[in-house]
Amino acid sequence: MERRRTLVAAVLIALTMVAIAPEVLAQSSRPKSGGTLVVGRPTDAISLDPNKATTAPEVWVYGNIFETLVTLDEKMQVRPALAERWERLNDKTLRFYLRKGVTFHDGTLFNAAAVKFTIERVINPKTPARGRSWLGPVTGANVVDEHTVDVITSSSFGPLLNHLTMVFVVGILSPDAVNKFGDDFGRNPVGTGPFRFEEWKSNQSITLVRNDRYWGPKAYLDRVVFRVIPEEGARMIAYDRGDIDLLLRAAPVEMERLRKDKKTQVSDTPGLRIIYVGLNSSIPPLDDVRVRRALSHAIDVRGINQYVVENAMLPARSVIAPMVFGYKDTRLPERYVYDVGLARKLLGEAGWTAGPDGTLRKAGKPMELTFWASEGRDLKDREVSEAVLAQLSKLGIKMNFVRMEWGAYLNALRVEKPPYNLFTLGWVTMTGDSDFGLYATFHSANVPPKGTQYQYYRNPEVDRLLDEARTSLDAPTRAAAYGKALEHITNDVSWIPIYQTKETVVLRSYVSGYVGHPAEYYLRLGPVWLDR
Amino acid sequence: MGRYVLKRLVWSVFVLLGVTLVIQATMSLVSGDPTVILLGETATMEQRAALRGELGLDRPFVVRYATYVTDVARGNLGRSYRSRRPILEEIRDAFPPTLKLSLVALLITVVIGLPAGVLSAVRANTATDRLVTAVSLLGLSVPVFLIGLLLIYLLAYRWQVFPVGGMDNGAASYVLPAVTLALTSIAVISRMTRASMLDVLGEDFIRTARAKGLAEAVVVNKHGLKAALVPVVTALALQVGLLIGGAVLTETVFSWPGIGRLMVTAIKTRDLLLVQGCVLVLAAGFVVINLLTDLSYTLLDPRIRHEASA
Repeated sequence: MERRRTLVAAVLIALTMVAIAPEVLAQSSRPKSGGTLVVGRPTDAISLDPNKATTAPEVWVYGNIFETLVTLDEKMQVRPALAERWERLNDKTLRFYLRKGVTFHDGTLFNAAAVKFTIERVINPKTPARGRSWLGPVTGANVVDEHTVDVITSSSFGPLLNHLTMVFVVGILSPDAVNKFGDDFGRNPVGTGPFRFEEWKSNQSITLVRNDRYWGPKAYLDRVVFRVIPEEGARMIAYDRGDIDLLLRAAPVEMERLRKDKKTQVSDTPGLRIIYVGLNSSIPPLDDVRVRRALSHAIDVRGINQYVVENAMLPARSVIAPMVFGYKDTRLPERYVYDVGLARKLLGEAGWTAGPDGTLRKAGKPMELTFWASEGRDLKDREVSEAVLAQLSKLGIKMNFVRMEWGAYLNALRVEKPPYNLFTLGWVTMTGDSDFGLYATFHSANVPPKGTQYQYYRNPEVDRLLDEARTSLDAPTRAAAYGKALEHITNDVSWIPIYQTKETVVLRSYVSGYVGHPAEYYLRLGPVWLDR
Repeated sequence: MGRYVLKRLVWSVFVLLGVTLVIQATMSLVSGDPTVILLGETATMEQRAALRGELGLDRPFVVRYATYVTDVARGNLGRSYRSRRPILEEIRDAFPPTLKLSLVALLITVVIGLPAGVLSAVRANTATDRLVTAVSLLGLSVPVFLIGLLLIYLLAYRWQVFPVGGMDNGAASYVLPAVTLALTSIAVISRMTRASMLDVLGEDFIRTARAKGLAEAVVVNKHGLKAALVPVVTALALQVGLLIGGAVLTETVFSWPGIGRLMVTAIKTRDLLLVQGCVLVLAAGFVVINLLTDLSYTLLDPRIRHEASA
């Protein structure tokens, strides 16, 4: 009996050891320095000057070269970066106490003057920075002493801290380097980040090397090479062949295979962009909220996500993403379930009934909707629009479908009273604060050509709530105002959100330390190391 | 001869002027205000107006065109709207890769296309002829991206003989893109050579050569081929133009950092000056190649003489 008990114990101990062995092994491999990480992506950067180019192909690279006063961590919380702490002096002044002993890659000192220089470069009307409008009411910065700087706004501005996290707006630049290189700064970027710029071979690759004088934890990688491989198939083959360690914008159709591949890990992070169908409520028939509600019941959002987007993204639950400050789950999938019968009933209440030929008519006039769709901007944007088109046509609506290439599309939307009833677009709340996600897209002060509120949505109560949240400096007050505004917006059906992005990065299994970030632009390589 | 060249060069200036005019006019017709694309969708009206002023887009078309032509005459192609980089620099990076790739493709075309055409003509209407015809047709009709991806899959992935793309691997980098790029030209050139050879082989001077008792190889290669080359060289020159200007797809499939890709990006971002710079360089290349082609005729066929007064 005694012996038997010993045996059982021994077996149990052995089993436990086997079970915990992989954990122990994983913990035993400590991060190590060295090696080159090759990143594969579809497009080259236009410029590495944050004030000249602000899209993902640039920010993936210079997000590792430049830093901001404050930054957003992976949970979208504001954290100190080049500023150690901050305090509010009054409703228009925010004081930052800067980190000491930080140098730029060119050896010059990071100080309050550099912050002032950077902010003034963004707002200078003579050299308009791409991100100027993203700084809101910021009017300048004042140097208090070498390591203290005040950021000034013209009015009380609640989301200011979040705006200052955007490296593609206020990444702090070396004033010396900007003055030295002028327009060529975009080819010779100098910041304070964990990597510094080494080489750029146009349309081929950009190489960064570790900044050995970095103020924080030094990067592990010796080098990062961002390779450009425009063709999707060729990019996948380059990855499969082992030419690439980290793959951006992998083909959705390949994801199932990659997720099963033992030599691959896939990092999925819920993102901040919402792709939606906007409804123009300034002209009939979508000026009637019953018709707008009917349409939202007639579009099979879940089906589109499953079959058209191939589950690469997440079905939207609100007009903004869950990680954003001020988010409220407006339960879109439950509130606007796909129900063609209900859609018909609502349309009937609004006076639209189907004739013998199936066409919806009101007072003899058929329902006709002009639907604008962009192409080549967001994942499967054209296909999503085509699915919506098919579902609305099936309802008996005569659809005029207009498809446009992105450059032309953007321009066509920004005119006074464009003739569409519906349009497809995406919006990303880059700051992680609802002000960025709602003010420009639902406040009636921002209708075109001035702004980007393409639905011509007008609800004075929403305007009031958005204004209140924008100017208030009290977080709970702001969050409550956004919650109420979101409720109105959802009720009024100004957008029919289709999906929330998911940031998917494919890595070889030996790439360790990578943490995905909800903001689609951030690819932080400082903590990444190679376990091989 | 000297006067002929001079006359042609003067003409080319007008050709290039015409090209820039057409491009500038086309680009102003294309919808899409560069300032919206440059500043992003959230830019204010004031910002857009300021940038339009800075880029000179607020001036009338004629003024803009005149300024552009004067600048180009001084050797200044301007700066890219978007990257703010001198356009000459952008082109200096992107044109050599395209040119090198096109020349290698041209070499492959000549080495394979000419002999195939001659063989086809000499063995006209035999099984060999039909095989060459069939292969040519295949080369003409299969799209570049299909052939390109197939070659990548087989030779860069399955057997890993060549790199997937880019130009970091020296001579090996050129093989797959150049072969892909050359396929269409090989087809065109072999067909052209065959037709031209068949014409020439029926001429009197060939009969004379045969009557003199020359060996068939000498008749075909020396007397026949040389005379048959005139239309082939014209076709080749056109192919060079197509190779350089039409490499966009090949450059995309093989991650080749050429001028085709640069131009497509420029068009998408409405980078007017950059588009113009690229087209100007391509057009100039085309003009030069055509001139060289015309001059080469006299070397190939003694019956042709260029007269400045003609």
